[in-house]
Amino acid sequence: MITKPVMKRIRVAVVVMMAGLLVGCGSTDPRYSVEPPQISFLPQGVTDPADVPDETTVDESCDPLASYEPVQDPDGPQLARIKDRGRLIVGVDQTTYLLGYRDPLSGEMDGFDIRIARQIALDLFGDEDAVQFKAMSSAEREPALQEQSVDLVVRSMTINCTRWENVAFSTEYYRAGQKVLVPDTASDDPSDLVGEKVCSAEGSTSLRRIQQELNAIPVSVRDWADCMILLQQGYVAGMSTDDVILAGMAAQDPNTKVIGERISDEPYGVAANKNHIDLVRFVNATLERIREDGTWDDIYEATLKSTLGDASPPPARYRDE
Amino acid sequence: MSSRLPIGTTMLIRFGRFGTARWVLPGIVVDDTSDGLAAWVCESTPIVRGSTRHGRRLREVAFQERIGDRSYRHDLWQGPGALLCFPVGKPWSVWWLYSAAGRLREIKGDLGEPVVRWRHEGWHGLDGSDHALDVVFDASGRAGLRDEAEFEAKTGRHGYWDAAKARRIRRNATNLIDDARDGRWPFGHDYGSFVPEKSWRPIDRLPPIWRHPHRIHPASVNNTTECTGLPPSHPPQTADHTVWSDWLTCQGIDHLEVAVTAVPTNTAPAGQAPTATPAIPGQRGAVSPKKRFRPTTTPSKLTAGLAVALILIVIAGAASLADSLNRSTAIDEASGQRGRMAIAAFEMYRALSDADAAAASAFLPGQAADEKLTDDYENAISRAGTAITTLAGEVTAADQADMVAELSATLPVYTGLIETARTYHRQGLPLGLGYLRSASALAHENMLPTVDQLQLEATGDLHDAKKHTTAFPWVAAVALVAALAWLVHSHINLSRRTKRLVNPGMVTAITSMLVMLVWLLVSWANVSSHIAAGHNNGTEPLEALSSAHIDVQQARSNEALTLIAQGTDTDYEAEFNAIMVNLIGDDGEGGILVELSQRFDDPQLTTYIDDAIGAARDWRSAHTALRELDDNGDYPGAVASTVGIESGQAGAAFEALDEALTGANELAAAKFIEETDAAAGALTASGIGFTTITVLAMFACAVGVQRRIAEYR
Repeated sequence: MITKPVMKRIRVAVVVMMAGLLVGCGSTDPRYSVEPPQISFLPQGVTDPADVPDETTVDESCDPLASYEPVQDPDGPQLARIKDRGRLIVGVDQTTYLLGYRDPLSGEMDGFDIRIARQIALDLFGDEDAVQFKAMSSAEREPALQEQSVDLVVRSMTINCTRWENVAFSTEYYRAGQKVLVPDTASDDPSDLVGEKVCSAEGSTSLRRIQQELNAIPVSVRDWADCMILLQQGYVAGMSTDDVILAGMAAQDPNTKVIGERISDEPYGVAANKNHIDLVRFVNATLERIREDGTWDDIYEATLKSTLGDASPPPARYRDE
Repeated sequence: MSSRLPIGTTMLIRFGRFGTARWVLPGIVVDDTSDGLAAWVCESTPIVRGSTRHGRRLREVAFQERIGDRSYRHDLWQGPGALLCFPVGKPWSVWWLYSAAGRLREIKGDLGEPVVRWRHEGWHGLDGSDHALDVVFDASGRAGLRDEAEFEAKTGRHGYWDAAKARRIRRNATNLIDDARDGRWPFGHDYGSFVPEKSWRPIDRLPPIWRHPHRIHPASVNNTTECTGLPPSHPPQTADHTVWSDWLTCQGIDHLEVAVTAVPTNTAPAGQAPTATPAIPGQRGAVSPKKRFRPTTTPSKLTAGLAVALILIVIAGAASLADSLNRSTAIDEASGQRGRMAIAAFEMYRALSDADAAAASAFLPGQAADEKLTDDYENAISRAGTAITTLAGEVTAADQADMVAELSATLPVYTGLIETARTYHRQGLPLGLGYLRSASALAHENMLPTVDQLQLEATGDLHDAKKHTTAFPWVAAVALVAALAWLVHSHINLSRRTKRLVNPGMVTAITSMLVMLVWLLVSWANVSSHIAAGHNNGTEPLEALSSAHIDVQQARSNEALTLIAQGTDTDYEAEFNAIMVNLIGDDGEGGILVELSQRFDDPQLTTYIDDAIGAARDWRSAHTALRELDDNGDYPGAVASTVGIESGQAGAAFEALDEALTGANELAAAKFIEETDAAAGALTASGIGFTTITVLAMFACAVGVQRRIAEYR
């Protein structure tokens, strides 16, 4: 009577509720469509265009190339200390091919700078291997000498008057200069680089010269190898720094070549602590020897000649004392 | 007279005046309840009816002749039987008149004195006195007054009623119609379809007791006494009928207009809402009567209670089902999507760091052709690729999909750079180192931050999912408790009413609801504990240990680079030391590894972490030794220690540390998956189970109560 319609309503309500629950419980599974992302790989720290460092006035108050008269006598206090130690400690680069690098397979150090250092050790101890190399960055060169954690630094260090205030230099052992590395198929004329991107290390004076001498767009990276990677990828038209460094790069990639005349002069010298004059004299004596007995030529031929062509040892100049 | 007459008893219904019964009808008791007495007058039952002095029927003569000295005559009840209902304390009786076919023809409200019941010499009876005015309800439910003329003629005559009482009688008519509209007894009862028992037969003759003095005395008819306020208690005793009459006369009266359009008959559906206010005498307008479903009888009360119970059971069942389904979905999301995504992100991070460290180690002199390093690198790249695939399958947002696409596209760039580096390296050219450092920078500054972001989002989502899975099921529990409470209450009511202690149907329903409640709570507790374990022994250690493992890989990379790339701008040695201090503190007794070994209580995990701490200490001392060798010029010695796997050498210590942390991470990941699967397992079959129990409870409850209701028919 009254029950039947009520029961019917209850049944209907239950069916509706159950149906609602079951329908509502199916969850949808969204699928996403993605666009292929643009991956353009560049080494980290590429600044394009580069922050060119301000022009610094060249300090010409001294004659940077004039060093101390050579003395072969190994009797100074520093020399005695080194001899006691039994080995020479030299600050070098271990990542620049042909100049100062560690052979990846043998683990041995080699390069122009390394061989120069070994000649010094040879003269000191009679043994080329009586030398311990400490790899360091450019920024660590002067502090290492001042703290005396190394005896000498042979690491593509340009002699200038500003640096003479902190360290003492030997005579020039190599005259480098800024040149440009380009792909093999590019022209030999650096003036074709006008308006193109040319790479160098950040903070380097080469950047300013790229802008002014080459009239190209400077691009800076954290490390020379990154410049090489950019060049190989075609991101830059060329890379510009000291020709010895470029020689090392060109030697690793036969599809590149070094072009142009020097647009700067970089005389390299062996650096020592400012007060270690006897050590400097000894180094100058060694340098004098290798200039004359052909060792310099041998070293050059073994490392840089095939890439940079002929060169002769730069003459020495001594200061009046 | 407070005892009830059993159904089927024959009793005498007498109407009279001046102490004499003029109309006597034998009636068979149909209902005798607290509402009133209903009696059936059979067709052809012997009756006594009033007549003129000459024995003529009163309806055949004019009003004047109906008044005054009258006689009676014996007769038989003509026409089909009638059901006479005498509501307690009301100044009327309600007659249900049927057609020959047995269908309700007319309902007559016969106004009169409230009846007085008596018992004498084994006979029961009730006495009433007619007020001439009738209220008639026809088949369509319209009410109207009848015999108004006769009523007016009798007003003021001796033994009848004066004008004041006449007004009161008219007001009774209004009240009668109100009662009809409100569905008070007998109007709410389904007497329209009443059918007498076949066994009922009219009596042969009236018993002599029919002549006994009529109990309604004239003195009570025309007197007015003080109002006593509330009506006297029921049932009226023989001596109390005056009080009843007097109470009725105390009611104020309005005038006499009555307008009614419809009255509920028993063929109308019950439960209709009232559509308008009832007609108050003096106000205009036709009104519709209220058709409210008010369960007044026991069967309808029981049915209403059953309906409420069923609704509550359904709500409880639906709430529990919804809760278990939601929880299940949340667990799926926790373990299926976010958990796997978090684990894949950690794995990707570790694999990439691993590849980087292996690639860097291969650049140590003499290691270029080392098979183990090559295998390590390739395994790591393969793991990274697999992790990306897993991530791609588990992303939950479009920006995450973009991030994974980026990772997927960057990984081949990374491997390309590494292969170029290796090619140069194998030719003895240091340019390879430049490529190695580029690749490393790509991994650390490009890919790993993306993975980090994905991992952060995944673990964040994981924490949210955890909250959903362990939330207490308030709605379902409250609904279940409400349903249980109502069922228990109904059962108590039912057993009181039916005087039977246990109703098996309802008891089954109560038990099943209880089972469901227990099941709900137990499964909630189970799920909560598993999810909490999955977090405490799974994702929390995984997060912390993955971070430590990545640092270890980074340190290994740095260690190799101090030997191969010293002199470039990065101070690899300083980074190595910083990582070591973070891992085991300055003195080897602090740092995050020591902290982690105390944080977790899983013994296996703690063993791994303790092994890692020991290996880290060994590594630190080995590393210090090899740095000394290098600083003093013994480069080959330093290299030998870095790669060496004999005890005391850095290579061996690193391997042990790597193994311990890998083991710990894999353990944590496995634990997480195990616990989440167990949590999902706690909910299996609860969907089916809840539905089944709900249906069972509804069925049992309905069956149990219906049985009792059926007894009322």
